[in-house]
Amino acid sequence: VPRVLRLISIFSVLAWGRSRLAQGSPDQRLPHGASACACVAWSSLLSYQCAKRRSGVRAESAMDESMVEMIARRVGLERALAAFPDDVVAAAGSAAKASDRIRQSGSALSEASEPWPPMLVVRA
Amino acid sequence: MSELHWMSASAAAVAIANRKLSPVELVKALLDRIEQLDPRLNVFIRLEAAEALKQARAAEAEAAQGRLRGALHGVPVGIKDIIDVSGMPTTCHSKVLQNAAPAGADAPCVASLREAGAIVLGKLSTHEFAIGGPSLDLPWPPARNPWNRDHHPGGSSSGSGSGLAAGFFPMALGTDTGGSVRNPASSCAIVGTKPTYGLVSRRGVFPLAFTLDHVGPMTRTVVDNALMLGVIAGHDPLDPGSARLPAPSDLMTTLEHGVRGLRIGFVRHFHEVDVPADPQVAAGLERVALALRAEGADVIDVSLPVLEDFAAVNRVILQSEAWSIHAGWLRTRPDDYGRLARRRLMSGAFMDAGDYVLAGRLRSRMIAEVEAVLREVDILLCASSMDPPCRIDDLDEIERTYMRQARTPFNVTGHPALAMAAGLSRDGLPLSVQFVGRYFDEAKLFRVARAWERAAGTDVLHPPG
Repeated sequence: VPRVLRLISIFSVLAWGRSRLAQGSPDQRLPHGASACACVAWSSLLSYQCAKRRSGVRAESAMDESMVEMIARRVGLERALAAFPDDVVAAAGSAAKASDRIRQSGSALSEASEPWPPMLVVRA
Repeated sequence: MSELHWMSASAAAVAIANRKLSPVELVKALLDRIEQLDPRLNVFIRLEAAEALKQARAAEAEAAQGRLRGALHGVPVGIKDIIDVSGMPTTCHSKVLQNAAPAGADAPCVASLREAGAIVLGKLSTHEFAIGGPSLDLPWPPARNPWNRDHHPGGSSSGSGSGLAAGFFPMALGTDTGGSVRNPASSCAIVGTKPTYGLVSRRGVFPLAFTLDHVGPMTRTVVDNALMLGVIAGHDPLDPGSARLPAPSDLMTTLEHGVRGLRIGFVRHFHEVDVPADPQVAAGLERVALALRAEGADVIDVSLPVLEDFAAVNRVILQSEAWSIHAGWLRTRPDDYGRLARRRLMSGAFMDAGDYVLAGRLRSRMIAEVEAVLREVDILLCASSMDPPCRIDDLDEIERTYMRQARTPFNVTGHPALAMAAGLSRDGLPLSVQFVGRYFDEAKLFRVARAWERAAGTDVLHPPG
């Protein structure tokens, strides 16, 4: 899919450039649709890349069921896993969602920003 | 005296002190009402009628001799069942603790109420361990909303909110880790305050998340809320989160000072952009802003971090800390939890240490951002719930609306926040507003809330029937 999109966009951009050069000689001008086609192709490619990046994040954090099972056993949730497997999977999904969000927000934090003390309220 | 069940705590205290009202008469009137209505509302997990009457007789005898214990002499109170009351088990509305031994001592917040003369009626429904939802797979049924018993009363302090709105008691204690005092206040048209983190001792309260837990007063009026907070606030050297400050003394004295000259920051993006609210909720917030402007406040728009970021930080911290508390039981007795609590509490097992620390770092930044805005304004005005309370039997709708709220930001930052009624929906269900103050400036919070209450008459808003 990305290769096809890339080819379409390259072709369209070339065609659009050619039509710009050909302005003034109507017999050589390509159809008006070429520039629109280029825009559509570029935006499709862009959104595909963004979606790919997003799904990469999801794939990384929203663990597959075997990973969920492995972690659940590692933390001692064998009984829950046997009796309530759906609950274990739902819990893992909810954790992944929250983690994804804070990792996105946290990427802009300075390395020096600290979490300590965990909660201290002082009168201003 | 007619309609004793709608009498405010402050009015009852004055009437008892002046020997115009007998605490026994008041407690009997409330017990009658509880007997009549509670089978349909499920507010009480444990009602101590005989003990309450015994305490009422003692209070009456003391008042007759002119000996008043304090500001709440003879006034009944309900306690959320995650807070210790001496001689009663703390069940947390869960099968896990259904057979718990009676608590050996009152939690300091309960002890303070008793020292001030309050009479404990019993223990109230909650969401399981203050985190589940209105579940039918628990040893006790979930509390229902007196405005319409087919609807959710909010939670997790659901019995506290429902019982106040039903006229079962004039004061209740709730706890708030992600909005659990303010949610039932919003759903039941009562007043609920989450004080500044550290102002009220959390000792003797079953923890949900150490750095987010707060104990707060729940009442039908702003005056009662200020009165109750004044009683339960104060430093507790045995609570590691307790602030080393004297209890506030100005909560009642500035209540009627009005809002003239105050700067109020309206956080519109919470309900207009971040989580678009039901239009009735949005209209209610506009009415509050207009009324405060008419009373002389300067209302300006302000911006805070987006709600979803606050919610994610709250969730990572809450679930990580809660897992550290519940891991043992979840490993050995997962079937003793209701489904909702089990799912929410197990999430912490899947957070990694880096997430928890990162949430703490983001929290520090959020505190700085909210503090910067609160240097420019005295009070923030924003949404509490984005929807009127949904049906209690619609689990999908409960799940959908669970995060559609603006309360968690102030558990994350620790600022004091109060939720109260902003009117009623077309269907006669409560709409709500939230006010947020500077650290330890609850006095100004109550001042603004009282101005709105006076303008809108929310203190006399009661469910039909």
